[in-house]
Amino acid sequence: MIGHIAISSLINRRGSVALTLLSIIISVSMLLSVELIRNQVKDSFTRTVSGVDLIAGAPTGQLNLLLSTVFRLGNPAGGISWQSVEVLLQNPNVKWAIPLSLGDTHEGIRVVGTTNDYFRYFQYGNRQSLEWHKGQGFDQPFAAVLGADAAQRLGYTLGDTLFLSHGLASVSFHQHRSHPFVVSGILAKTGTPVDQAIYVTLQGLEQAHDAPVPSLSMRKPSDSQAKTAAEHDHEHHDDDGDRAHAEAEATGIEWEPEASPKQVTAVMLGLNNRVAALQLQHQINQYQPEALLAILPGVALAELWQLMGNFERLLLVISGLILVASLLGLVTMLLASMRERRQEIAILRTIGAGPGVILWLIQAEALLVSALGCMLAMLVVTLMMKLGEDFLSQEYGLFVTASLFQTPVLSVVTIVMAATWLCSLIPALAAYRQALHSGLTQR
Amino acid sequence: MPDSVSEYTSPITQKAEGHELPHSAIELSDVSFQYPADSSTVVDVPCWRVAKGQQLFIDGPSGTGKSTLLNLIAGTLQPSSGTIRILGQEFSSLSSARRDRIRARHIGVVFQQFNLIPYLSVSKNIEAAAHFAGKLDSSVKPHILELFEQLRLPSKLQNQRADTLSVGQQQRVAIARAMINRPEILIVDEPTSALDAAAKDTFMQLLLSSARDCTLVFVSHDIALAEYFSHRSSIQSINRASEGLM
Repeated sequence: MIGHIAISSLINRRGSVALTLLSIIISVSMLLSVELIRNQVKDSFTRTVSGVDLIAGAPTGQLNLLLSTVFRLGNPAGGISWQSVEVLLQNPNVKWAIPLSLGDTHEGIRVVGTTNDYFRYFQYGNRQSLEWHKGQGFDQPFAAVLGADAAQRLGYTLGDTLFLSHGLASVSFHQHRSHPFVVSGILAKTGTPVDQAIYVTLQGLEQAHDAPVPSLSMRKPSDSQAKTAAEHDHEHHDDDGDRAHAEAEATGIEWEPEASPKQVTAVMLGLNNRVAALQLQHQINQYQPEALLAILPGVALAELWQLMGNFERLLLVISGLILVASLLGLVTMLLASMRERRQEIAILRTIGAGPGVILWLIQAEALLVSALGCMLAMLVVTLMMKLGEDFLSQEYGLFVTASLFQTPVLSVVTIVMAATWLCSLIPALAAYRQALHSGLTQR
Repeated sequence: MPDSVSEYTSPITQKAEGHELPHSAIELSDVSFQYPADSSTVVDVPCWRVAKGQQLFIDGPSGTGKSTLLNLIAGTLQPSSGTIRILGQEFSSLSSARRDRIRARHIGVVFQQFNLIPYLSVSKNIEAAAHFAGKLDSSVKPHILELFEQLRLPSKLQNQRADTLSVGQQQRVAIARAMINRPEILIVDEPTSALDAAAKDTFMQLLLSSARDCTLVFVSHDIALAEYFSHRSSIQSINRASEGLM
């Protein structure tokens, strides 16, 4: 009965209730968005790279190196010579190395020059290896492998060809049209920036850069071009060396390059013993022939969280203040209604409702408005997340989901409801006091 | 016999020397009341009783403490001093929650106007009274229909919002709400002030027929209504403080 009376009372004052509800929806949506994105970004960043013990690159900030190599954010700073990479490969502590060459795009999608070791050793999430959706790794110097989202966005499949554009801008006027790359494989979805990139061989990338820049076209190549490219690539098959054959036996891929690039942007390193990571990091940072920077991904991420922590806190404080303002609006609305509800309280008292019932009635109204506000805010946030999912993953490599049954959401809702209960005590106690002295008629 | 007992009050409501009358529905002894923000005494009743089943009319001008007296009887106000017994039970010493429960179960109240919660339907207004008395069960709906018939209210009004009814209809619904828990005592405070002469008569007939088994305390400044009652009293004869309030 109290619930029915509370709902009917709110419907009766729907104008002011709707405005209060709107302010609660906005504030709770903000709070939920900040909390969800904060947690999911952290999770998304943490699950992006796993099992990489060190990343070596040209001297820059450790965050810049991490963001450009792992998250494909920002611009890579310079490169390191292939000789230095080979020195690293010969280090007894190094189990595997994934060279990365960044700086090109195709239709706005970042292109990563690498080797088949990327598909073999790179891990994400909880030490999950990359898997193939279609095809296989590089089988010739001008092979390309597509991340799941890149393949979906471009609509390419195995055998399709693509040209690289120079630079990281979404539109480039410098295309390497003399060297079309043929899609040899498409990776299964990982929910990480891996999905948002195109992978090509280091050698193919090197040759494409060495060639003159003949065209400004951004179109998908025609079938005849594709065929020519495939034929051109086929000629390279006969040049594979012994090492390539040995690798082919291990991986099932028939080709492995022997020509080395002049330089790469960075190298991801997996060590035989993780304890050696700090020692090797020191060695790389002290490497005399060339200035290098080695970072521990976990430490760099910790620095990132530290940097983001202040911003997160600021956002949380702002959202919290907006919520407080909304709850004060709710309290004001209930207090303002007290005068017009004197008679209603008197009626309830005469039919046997005690002051406690009146107190609970006012609190029930406040809690109903807040609960409805929270539910609608969750709906709004789900919708926003759903709409922004693709944009965030494509533009920022952030993978957020619209799932609302998560601890942060439940925490926010619990805090909002508790704060509502507390704030509603102000009008509820006013009503209680009024009820204590209210009778058949108001004095 | 105390001076304050009205000459019009039924003999069975008066105190016999040295004996508690067994049939008192309402009994006040040395009751005084002051509003917290006001130093003046609003109610000062040395002794007053209403017998069970009595239908009593109390008249008096506005501002003489009639409504305050009814609030004290209903237990919505606590006396500053003295004792109030309702149906033989000392009412004023009970906790607020107990008084609320006794009021809900045993006392029906009809007051001036705006008797109903405007945004609730007519039936919900009546059911609310049954709910607070702890009597909201399957028998309530048929009882509402009975009361509607008795009070000549069309049953289709049940689902209408209370504020869409005419004043006369609202007052009749207020009687139905007051009677839903079959109370022993019915307190009625100026119920006809917003009604015209014809509506007043209809209302009084319906009220008295509905409340024929109750102890009825009816307060009004309209002396003409006294003709409907077998017992009559004036507020001045009950409340010594009323003189100072006029």
